[in-house]
Amino acid sequence: MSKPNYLSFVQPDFTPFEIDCGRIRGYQYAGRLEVELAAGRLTREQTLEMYEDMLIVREVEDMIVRLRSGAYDPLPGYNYRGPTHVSIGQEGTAVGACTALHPADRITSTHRGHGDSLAKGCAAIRRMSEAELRSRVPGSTAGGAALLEEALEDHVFRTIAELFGKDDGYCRGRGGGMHIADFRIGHLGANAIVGGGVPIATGAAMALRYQRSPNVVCCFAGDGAYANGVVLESLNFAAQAQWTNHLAGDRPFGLPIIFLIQNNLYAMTGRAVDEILGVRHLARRGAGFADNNLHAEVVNGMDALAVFDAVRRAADLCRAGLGPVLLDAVTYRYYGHSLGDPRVEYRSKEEEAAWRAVDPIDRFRAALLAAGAAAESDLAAIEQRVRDRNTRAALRAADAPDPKPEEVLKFMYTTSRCDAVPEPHRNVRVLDAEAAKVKRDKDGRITYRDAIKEGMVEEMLRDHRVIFYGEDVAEYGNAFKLTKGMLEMFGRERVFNTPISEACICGTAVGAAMAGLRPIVELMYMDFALMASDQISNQAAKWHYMSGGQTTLPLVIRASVGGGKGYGGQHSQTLESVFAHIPGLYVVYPATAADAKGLIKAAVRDDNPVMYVESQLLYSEKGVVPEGDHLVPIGVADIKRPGRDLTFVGWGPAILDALKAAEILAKDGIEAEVVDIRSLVPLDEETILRSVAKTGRCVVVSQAVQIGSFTAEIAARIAEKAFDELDAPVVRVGAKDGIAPQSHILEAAFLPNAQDMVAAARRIL
Amino acid sequence: MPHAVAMPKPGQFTEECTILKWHKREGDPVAKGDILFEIETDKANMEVESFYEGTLLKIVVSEGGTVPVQATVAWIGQPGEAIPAAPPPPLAPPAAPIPPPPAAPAPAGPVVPAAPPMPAPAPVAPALAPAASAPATTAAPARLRISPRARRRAREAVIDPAPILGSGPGGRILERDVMAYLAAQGYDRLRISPAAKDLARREGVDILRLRGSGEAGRILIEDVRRAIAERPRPMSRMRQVIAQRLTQSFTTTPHFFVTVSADLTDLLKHRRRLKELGEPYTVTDFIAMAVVLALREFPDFNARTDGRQVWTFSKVHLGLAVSLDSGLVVPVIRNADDLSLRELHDTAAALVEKARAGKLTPDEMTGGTFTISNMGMLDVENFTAIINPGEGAILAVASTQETPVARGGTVEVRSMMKMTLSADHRLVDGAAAARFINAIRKRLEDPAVWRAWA
Repeated sequence: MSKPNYLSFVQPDFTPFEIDCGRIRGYQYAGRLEVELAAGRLTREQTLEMYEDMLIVREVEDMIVRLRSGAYDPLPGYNYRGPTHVSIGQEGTAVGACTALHPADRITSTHRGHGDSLAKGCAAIRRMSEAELRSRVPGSTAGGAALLEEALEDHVFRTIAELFGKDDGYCRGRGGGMHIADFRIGHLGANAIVGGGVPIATGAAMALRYQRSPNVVCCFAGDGAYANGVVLESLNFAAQAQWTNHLAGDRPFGLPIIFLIQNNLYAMTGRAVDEILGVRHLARRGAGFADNNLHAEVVNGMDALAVFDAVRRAADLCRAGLGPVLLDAVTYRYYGHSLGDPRVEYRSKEEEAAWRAVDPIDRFRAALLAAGAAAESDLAAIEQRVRDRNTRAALRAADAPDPKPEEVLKFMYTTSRCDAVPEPHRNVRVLDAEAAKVKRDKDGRITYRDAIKEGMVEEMLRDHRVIFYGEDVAEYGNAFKLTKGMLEMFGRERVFNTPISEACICGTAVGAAMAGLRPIVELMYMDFALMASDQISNQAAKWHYMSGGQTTLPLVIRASVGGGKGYGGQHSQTLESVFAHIPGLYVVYPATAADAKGLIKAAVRDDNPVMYVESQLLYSEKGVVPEGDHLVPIGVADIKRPGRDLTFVGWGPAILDALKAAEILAKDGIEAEVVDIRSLVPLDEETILRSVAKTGRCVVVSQAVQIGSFTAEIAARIAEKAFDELDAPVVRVGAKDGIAPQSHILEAAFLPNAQDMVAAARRIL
Repeated sequence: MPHAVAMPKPGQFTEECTILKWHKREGDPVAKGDILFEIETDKANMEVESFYEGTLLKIVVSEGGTVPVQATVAWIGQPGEAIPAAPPPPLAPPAAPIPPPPAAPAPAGPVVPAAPPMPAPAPVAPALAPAASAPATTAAPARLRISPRARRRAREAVIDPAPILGSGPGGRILERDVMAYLAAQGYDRLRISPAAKDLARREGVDILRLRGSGEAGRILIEDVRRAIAERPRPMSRMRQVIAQRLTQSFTTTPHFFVTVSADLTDLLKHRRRLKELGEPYTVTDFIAMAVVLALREFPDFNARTDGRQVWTFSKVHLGLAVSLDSGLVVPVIRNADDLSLRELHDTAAALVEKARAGKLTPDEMTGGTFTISNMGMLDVENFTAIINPGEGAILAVASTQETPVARGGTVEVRSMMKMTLSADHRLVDGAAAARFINAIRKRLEDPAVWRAWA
């Protein structure tokens, strides 16, 4: 393989020209049921299954509507507490799409996702082998059709149980209808953040591409999402030239993803037509992201067959490496945003009647009869079966046990770790083994910067699932030359530049982790993490829990702190306290080269999402770092200097200042102990408390501003758990409660230093 | 606007009171004059009536609560009326750990400021400075400034950290101070049985204060038990007041004492005769009468001074010291100089009975101008008394004893009673005291005098 690097040569060329956006076509499907059957694209059984699946969706949602008014006869008076974002009217889109997908294809969905979830499950279950079916209903003794029926009923039951918040629900009552997921059939989660699932789907598609998988991702999202930044970032991310041009080496392959817009015309209540969008057809978005318009077309979402046809063709394109594909399926939501929405403020009764007149289920039923695919009695039998099945499932769900209150935190974090790499992932190809090699000085020392790289490189050599991407990390070797040589060593398949799309960088990492990779992503400055805060805080942090432990999120987000370099307010923030406040994330911040390497390696191997914070101030600090497998366990503090009179506890660059402060105090015979927590989450409370028990005095230090800082968390825990050990109040040293200034004079006044720590120590000695 | 019901100030010197019992509940209708609640003061229990009509909207201080006088204890108004937001009343510290009385009396002594002349004396003489006691009774005991760590070390060592001098900020006792103290106290050489140490820890006994009775001074469990038994107990509120007032008086008033013996042989005979006739008089009644008459003759003894001014009272309000199990009270016979012996007797008897029942009102215990303390029943030859604050003298009356007395050259056995006058030397001198006490004696020895009384 040739070197992956390339140099641009774009000539100035200002010849007048016109952009021809080509054509985006709509409602071109002219098929009918008879035609699909005759062409063999659908069997009679499949059409009946589609009819049944649409009914299953509608029955569950109709049940929700009735439960809300006490009118669901099988459960009179049942107190349904869940959300009520029903998709009644949109069944044709969900079922049409899922019928066109393979069982192992993935979907992501939305807060209005009962239909997608039920349809994907039904479609997958109907194609399962007997062994696969049995694994879904382990207790069953049935076989054949009866086993299939049990699996379908179990699917409906687990869905309803999740809506009811039960322990038997798909997500063990942790997710509910807005976050329902079934990873076994490729459902990577409904998402209650509008647009939040789109980068996840994109990341999953990126993983499928990397894994050479034959599968595709169908990303369901509404019209409202297509005005959201991260969705537009995702469209661009998926359409990047580097997936398909010469940079892709021997396998140019577009991301296998179908962006399926469930365009029900209303972003909650914002009107997609005439009000909150500038385009009449969202399919136009395709023209903004790829010269092929992302194969965009407008599809009749009320016609399951039209959606089936479009998704089948789109999936074929994706499987051929010609993705991504954008489908704008126009459909309609009969009810409001939720059942609390009376709809009368923003749309007319006449409009609703007109859309109900083209109901996808009624139309499909008529088509089945017209095509002679089913007799009236066949359909009546299906309808009865759906109703009865739903009744049984609902009764069972209502009686099912609630999750145990004492297990409220179960599934917050996983204890699993990749201690041994499974065989297929050990096979790692290296282009240039020397390119990213780190050289030690005569004392065996390397810089903090190189220690991070060495850790990443070792983990990428160890496990093929580890990939690394971010802004300017490839040829340029990142903004701080930290990743220099990694592209040359591993190739662009595993080390690549991204667009400046922080939300999408983090979101794709979530999707890739869900799909089996172990990505490391880089945020050039920690300040930019705020651009990605939904993906970090609502997605990466929450999916293990919200899925009831179905998935793990083995990903690392490296965030570099620029404080101390005179970069001003938007490039200098020490924000780890913000992310330590988000349960579900691990947050680490090494202070030395050895810890930098040990922690990045541990982070990569951990199955929890890890926010790995590093300081540009420390990049050139040198230390002795063991070669090879040197791991620092996450959640274990380190005593950087022992002492008996006073404890400095903190993390990051403040540790170096604390060590200096300890030196100064030592001249007066005061022996300060310096405890480097290294991990904010999980926090090694025991080591801190033990040190405080020894010294009786504690100064908590960091470079973070004081207000809301994690230093306060540590101080509070000491006060709570070691009160009787204290000889003086716990004090804190941090940056001033302000914004990092550019002037180095001002910044020196802004940031804490060793003298501040000495002064704080003397106040309590 | 609802009315705030305040804790009354039942006596001149009352700083705080405890609510014993509520007679109304929240929501009950209240008429003017209804009994709202019952309080315990430092002197007695009393019932408090309502000044207001309406509904008892809220009880702020519940039964058992002790608050300073004038603090709001309840609200009376119309149902549904909003109660104004107000800080909760400062609760006085619970009764058990009563702070020690102030070590030194207030330098000013009596409350009356010296410079501006005092307005006409109130019927109830202000005698003692309430300010002298205020800080001690209402403020919490000074909090020991000690770090949690040092406190724990002290607890582990089973010592009381209070005597340790703190070297930390604001004098906070730090661990090093505890360690230095232990070293200085020879803590390491202390020998104590584990059981003794354990008991001492549980009971909060400072083992440095123990003397071991075991071998080589080893502290044993009995030593701890003894220390627990001998631990100081808080004084009752009544005794604290007694202690404070008498200390005040005895340390700020220059007392001198004059003793005489009165021959009561004839008076006793007369009294026996009266008794046989069904008259109830006691010896005290006669003494009281004699004192009242003598006071009219010697008004300097019906007076008080603060060392700069002298208040001479125009009426005699005679205090009678009554000993109770719980302490001493001094009910006051008002306008004793207007009373006949019979009236004196009846008033005294009623007051004594009320005192024994704990039913004296604060007004019945204040405002005396002269006091008699009679220990005649207690078989004492002689004693001296401490002048009641706000008065100028007190008469201590001892038991009557059969005594051989030389009379007209022969020895006779007579019923002799010693009386000792304690007087404020700032007011009067010895010669006046001698004349005064002999005037009393003469009245008791002269049948012509007391036959006129009864």
